[in-house]
Amino acid sequence: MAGPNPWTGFADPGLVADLMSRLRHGLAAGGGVEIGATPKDEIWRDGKVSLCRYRREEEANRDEPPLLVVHGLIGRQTISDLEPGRSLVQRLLGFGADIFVLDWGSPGPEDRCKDFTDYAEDHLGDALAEIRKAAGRPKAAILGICQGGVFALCHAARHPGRVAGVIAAITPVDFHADKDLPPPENGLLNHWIRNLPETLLTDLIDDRGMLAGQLTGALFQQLKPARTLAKYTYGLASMAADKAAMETFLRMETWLADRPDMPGAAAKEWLIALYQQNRLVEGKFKIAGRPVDLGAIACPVLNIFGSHDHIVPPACSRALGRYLAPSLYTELEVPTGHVGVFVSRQSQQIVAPAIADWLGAITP
Amino acid sequence: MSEGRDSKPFQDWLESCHQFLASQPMSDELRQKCQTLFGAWQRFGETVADAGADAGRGGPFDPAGWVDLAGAGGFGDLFAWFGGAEAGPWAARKQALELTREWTAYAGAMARYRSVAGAAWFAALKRFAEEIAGQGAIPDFQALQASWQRVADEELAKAQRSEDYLNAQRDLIRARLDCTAILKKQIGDLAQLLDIPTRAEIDELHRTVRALRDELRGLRRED
Repeated sequence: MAGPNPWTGFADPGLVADLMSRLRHGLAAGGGVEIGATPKDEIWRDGKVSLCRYRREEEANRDEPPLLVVHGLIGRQTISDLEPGRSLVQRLLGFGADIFVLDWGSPGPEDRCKDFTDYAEDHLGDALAEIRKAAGRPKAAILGICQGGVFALCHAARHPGRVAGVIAAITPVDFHADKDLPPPENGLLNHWIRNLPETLLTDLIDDRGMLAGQLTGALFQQLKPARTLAKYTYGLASMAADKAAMETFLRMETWLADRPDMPGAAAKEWLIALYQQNRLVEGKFKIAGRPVDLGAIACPVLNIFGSHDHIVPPACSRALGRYLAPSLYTELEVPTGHVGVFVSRQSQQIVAPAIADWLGAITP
Repeated sequence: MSEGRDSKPFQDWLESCHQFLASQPMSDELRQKCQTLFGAWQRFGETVADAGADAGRGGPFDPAGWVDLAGAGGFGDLFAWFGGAEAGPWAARKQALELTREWTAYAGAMARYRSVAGAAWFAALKRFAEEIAGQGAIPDFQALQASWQRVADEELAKAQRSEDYLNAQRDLIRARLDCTAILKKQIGDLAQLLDIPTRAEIDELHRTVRALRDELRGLRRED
C-alpha cells in the first residue's frame, strides 16, 4: 500500500501525525513476529546443543545427500529461515532436500571452556552420526555459515570419509587475504582485530569468560554508522505504510538483537588464532590437538560469498580455492552483502537453486 | 609483657593513660580503682602477647595491635578476620579511591574516543556540505539521504582506520577492563566475607567438569 512520502510532507502536521500513527501500529503489530518458523522436529540433544530435522510433506530426493545446516556462534541459525519468501530452508525443501539444522543454544558462563574442538569435532561429529541414523544415508553434506563454515571445513579435513560435501557460505578462510588490499576490500573488522594487542583481546574475553553477543552486535553496527542511524530513522519512517516491509524489518531486528555470547575458549581461537595469527591457512590451527590440513578435504566444496560483504571480505572467503583440488572446488559470488546472501530479495533467486544443483551433482 | 616486635606502643599508651589520670583531680577511691584496672590490663596484655610470641606471631588480641590499627596483629588481624586478607581500617577507603581513579581514567578514555569519533562526523558533514554546494540544485530528500549515508560511511570508515582511532579504541577497552577489575575484586572480597562462592571458584569448578568431560570423550574415542 502506498503511503505518504514522509520526507516531503513534514510541513503538514496531519501527514506527520498519520505517519507516526502508522509507525506505532506497525511496531505494535510486529511485536509478535516469528523467525525460524518452518516446522521441524528435534531428533537429538546434548545439553544446550540440539539437532532438528525439517518436516517434509513428500519424501526427500534419494539421489542426493541430506544437508546439515551449521551456523557459527555469532548469529543464530534462524537467519537461514527468516520468513516465508526469505527462507533458504524453505526454498531448499521445495527442491526436495532433506534438511537438518544444528542449534548451539545460548552458551553461558558455564560454557566458557568450550572451544573449536567441542563444536567442530565433537558436536558436529555427533550430529552427523545422528543424521546417518535418522536419514539412513551413509553421509551428509554440510552447509556451514560464516564461522559454521570454518567448523565444517575443519571437520571435513579431519574426517575425509565422513562428509559428502561442504558448502562454505560467507566463510573466512584466509583471515589476512585482505591485508594488503585498499579499503573497503580491506575489511574494517579485520583491521581492528589485527591492531588490538593479543593481551588486550585475551583480557577482554577473560573479563566475562565469554565474547559478549552485545559487543559483537555493537561492533557490526559500528562498521557502517551512518547506515545504522539511517535504518532506525529514515528507513523506519519510509516503511511506515508498508506492513510487509515493517514485518521483515522487525524480523531482521529480532535476529540482530538476539546474538548469543561466544564461549571464551572458542572466542580466543576465533579472534587470536584465526583473525590475528591466521593459523588455518598456515596449517597450524589445531582441533583435538592436531593441526587441520585443508588440503586433506576430499569432498566437493561449494564456496558462496557476497561481493559486497563488509564483515567477511570476499578475498578472505575466496582464498579457500587455493587450498583445495580444483576438481572439488566450485565458487558462487552473490551480489549482496554478508547477511544479504540469505535474506536479500535478489539472493533468493540465486543461492537456493545453486545449492540444489550442486547437491544433486555430488555422490550421496 | 614479652619484648616482641610492637609491645612498646601498648606500654607507652598505658603509661600515658596512667599519667593523664594521675594529673586529674579525683577521689582516692577512684584513683585506686583506676590503678587496679591498669594493673589488670597490663597483666592481660603480657599474658596474651607471650602466648602470641610462643605461637610465633601476634593475634587479634595481641595488645601491640590495639594501638596500631594499620599494623599486623590486634585490630589489623580483627579487620582481616572480618573483612578478608586485605581488609583493614583503611582498605575500603583505599578500594574506593582505586575505583575512582580507574573510573576517572575510563571517563577520560571515553572522552578521547568520542573526540576522535566526533571529529570524523564533522569531517563527513563538511564533505557532504561541499558536495551539495557543488551540485547547484538541491536534490530531493531521498537522493540527499543516500548521498549523506555514502559520504558519512566513507569518512567514518577512513577515520576508523586511523592511528588516532585505533589508539583511542585500545585505550578505551583497557580503561574499561581496569575499571571492572577493581569492581570484581571488591565483589570477590564481599563474596568471601559472606561465604558466597566467587566467580574464580565457580570457574575452577567448570574447568574440573570440563576436564572430566574431555576424559570421557577421550575414552569414547578409544572405544
